Amino acid sequence: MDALIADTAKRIYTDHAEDKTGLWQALEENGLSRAWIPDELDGTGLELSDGFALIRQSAGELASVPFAETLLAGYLLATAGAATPDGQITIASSTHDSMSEAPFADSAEHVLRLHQNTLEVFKIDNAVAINNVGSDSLASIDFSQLSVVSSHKAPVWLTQDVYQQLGAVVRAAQLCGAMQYQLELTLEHTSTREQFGRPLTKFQAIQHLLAEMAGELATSSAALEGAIQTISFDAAPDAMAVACAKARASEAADIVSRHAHQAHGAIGYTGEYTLGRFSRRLWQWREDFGNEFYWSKLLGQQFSRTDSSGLTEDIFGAING
Amino acid sequence: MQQFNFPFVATNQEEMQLRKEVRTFLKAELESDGYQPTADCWMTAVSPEFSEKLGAQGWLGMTWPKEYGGHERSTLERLIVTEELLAAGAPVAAHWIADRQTGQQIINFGTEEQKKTLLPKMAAGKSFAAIGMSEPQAGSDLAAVRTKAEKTDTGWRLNGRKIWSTGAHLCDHMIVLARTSPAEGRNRQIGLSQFLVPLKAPGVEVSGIDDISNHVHFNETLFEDVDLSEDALLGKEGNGWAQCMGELALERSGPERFLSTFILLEQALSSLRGKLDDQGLITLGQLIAKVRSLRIMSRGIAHQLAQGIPSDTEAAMVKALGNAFEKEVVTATRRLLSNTPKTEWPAGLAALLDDAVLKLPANTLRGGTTEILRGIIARQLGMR
Ligand SMILES: Cc1cc2nc3c(=O)[nH]c(=O)nc-3n(C[C@H](O)[C@H](O)[C@H](O)COP(=O)(O)OP(=O)(O)OC[C@H]3O[C@@H](n4cnc5c(N)ncnc54)[C@H](O)[C@@H]3O)c2cc1C
Repeated sequence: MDALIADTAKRIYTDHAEDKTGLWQALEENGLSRAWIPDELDGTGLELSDGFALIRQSAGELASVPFAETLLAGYLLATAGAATPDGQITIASSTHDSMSEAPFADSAEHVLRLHQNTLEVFKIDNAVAINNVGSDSLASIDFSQLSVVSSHKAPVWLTQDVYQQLGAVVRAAQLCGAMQYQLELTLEHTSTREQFGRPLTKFQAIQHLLAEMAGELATSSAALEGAIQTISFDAAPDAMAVACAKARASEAADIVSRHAHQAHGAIGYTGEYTLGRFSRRLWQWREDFGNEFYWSKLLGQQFSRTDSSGLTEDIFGAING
Repeated sequence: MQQFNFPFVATNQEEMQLRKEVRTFLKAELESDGYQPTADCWMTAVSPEFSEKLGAQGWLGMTWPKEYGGHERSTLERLIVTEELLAAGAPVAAHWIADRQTGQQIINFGTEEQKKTLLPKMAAGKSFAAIGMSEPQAGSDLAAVRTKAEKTDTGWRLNGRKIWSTGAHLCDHMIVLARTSPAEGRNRQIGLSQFLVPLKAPGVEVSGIDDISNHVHFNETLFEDVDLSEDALLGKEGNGWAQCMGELALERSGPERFLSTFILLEQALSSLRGKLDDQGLITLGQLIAKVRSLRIMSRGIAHQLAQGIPSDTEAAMVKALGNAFEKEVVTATRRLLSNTPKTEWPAGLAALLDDAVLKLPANTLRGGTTEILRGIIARQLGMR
């Protein structure tokens, strides 16, 4: 990512670590929340890859705001050439029924859904918070009770499947960001915590836990990059690259969070210590827009097609990894 | 925290063209009984004739300078060829080590004379090389090597023994890691040097060791007062450890660290298409996601190595993840096939599976054990 953008974002997160309202304001003022909206639609017009780097970074920050969702909403509306309202926008996770869950719906101003080939923006005035495994807020909304602010014909390629794929890549980026946070925190903890007269990092069993975490993070990041490369403003991403990214990241989230807790001991299990909040994000995000089993099954179907001319060709012939 | 770098390298049209050429060649070879596909082909499927054919195609020494018989193609192009050969289970073991690492070591550290005489033969698939790192007392603890080289009036005298050298019985040369001066206190990485040793030299004795399936695959090599010329010293005296580590980066990052059992999956799948239940599809899909991610990583390393960016830890990561994946492929294949009676398996699959099972214990040992690789990653994380 552009170093200047990264530094700006880092500074904003540091300045507003405990203050969600101030944080959001700063993100807006610096144009970061409108990263994926092109200049002509009054956005910041950053590269898609820069936006993904920002999303990944935000997932490793304590403060929870619908940054990823707002970016994605901006992108989706931009594909339809439509303007995006200011403020926080969340994304409906299911688009088939009138009832849907959406993260941060109890605080965001708007919610976006794709319904019958139309992108619809609703003003949220009634959302019911629901308990969930994650640590960020999740709420259920009833679209039949909300009023549409604007609706736009979606491009033909933006199907429900594609909507889900885009959500999956965004979550994969967040998973990578939160896994990186856990790896760094675990490294820091094991370097300072002493038992038997030595820091935990000196125990080989602990070293191997962290080495495995680093490997899972690296391979998830590689798969993520493969998916990001296929995303653009005017065509659907490569579904298989997306499937790999979400399948890998969701599976890795299980291993990384498990090892992070093991290496931390009891302190990591407390509500106050930050590790658990990131574990809970991982456990929520790994399910969102399809978990590792969902996407693996899709990969399995695609790569066992009877009309295929062989696995070698299917895998090594693929343009994107 | 230390970040690990795996730059994304997109595929282009020329790569696809090269892939097609290799596949066409392999198909013709297969149809004319030129080879029988095997798992772990790069370690155990030896065919000097096949190696010569690859040499004639220009697919050995691909990245080496033309004046030494190479073809000055890119690291990525070499990766395409090796991926295709591995996926097809082709008999590439004879030349694999020379093509992968020995040739490059000679280019980096050899004399002009060595480059002129040895590289063209290696690129033609007519001369092979072995790795002489391990010794009975020096496995994971490589710096414990005792093989010694002493200066003489005419060059060096070598004494000691190497063990586990893959294919040494077929090779003309071995790069031997030997002690040329005492360790400095506890720092045993000091005082080691690499030698390019002709295995036909007087005093060298290579004897085969049966592996678990009673094939002679690796060897013990004795060196008794072997007189070597001055230029047998590869690179700088005392620089052996660093040179060795560079060699290991070439050794650890390639697709052979995750594709050794791929042929098994390909062949099993040919009879399972359209018949997998949901669990089977998920199992298959998880493998696909892994192999595709590993490819992205391996391509990234190839790209970095080509630019001279050290990637030792990244390579260790690919090998650790890739070897685990290779084992997973075998277990998954057994699971996927468990509902199909053996009589309905494609011809040759049962033998292929047995063979893969027999070869599997070695993949997480050779080239650095998983435990050692995790140690390398942990060091890079700052834990050691
Ligand atoms: C098929 C095959 C081909 C080979 N080909 C070659 C070749 O061509 N040339 C060559 O030079 N060598 C070759 N080798 C040797 C290979 O490099 C060694 O087997 C490897 O380095 C491990 O050494 P070792 O076998 O002595 O096991 P050891 O080092 O004795 O290890 C035994 C076990 O202890 C563990 N262990 C050791 N040290 C540590 C530690 N510090 N922390 C945690 N665990 C530890 C290991 O991980 C392993 O699980 C080959 C080996 C095989 C199996």
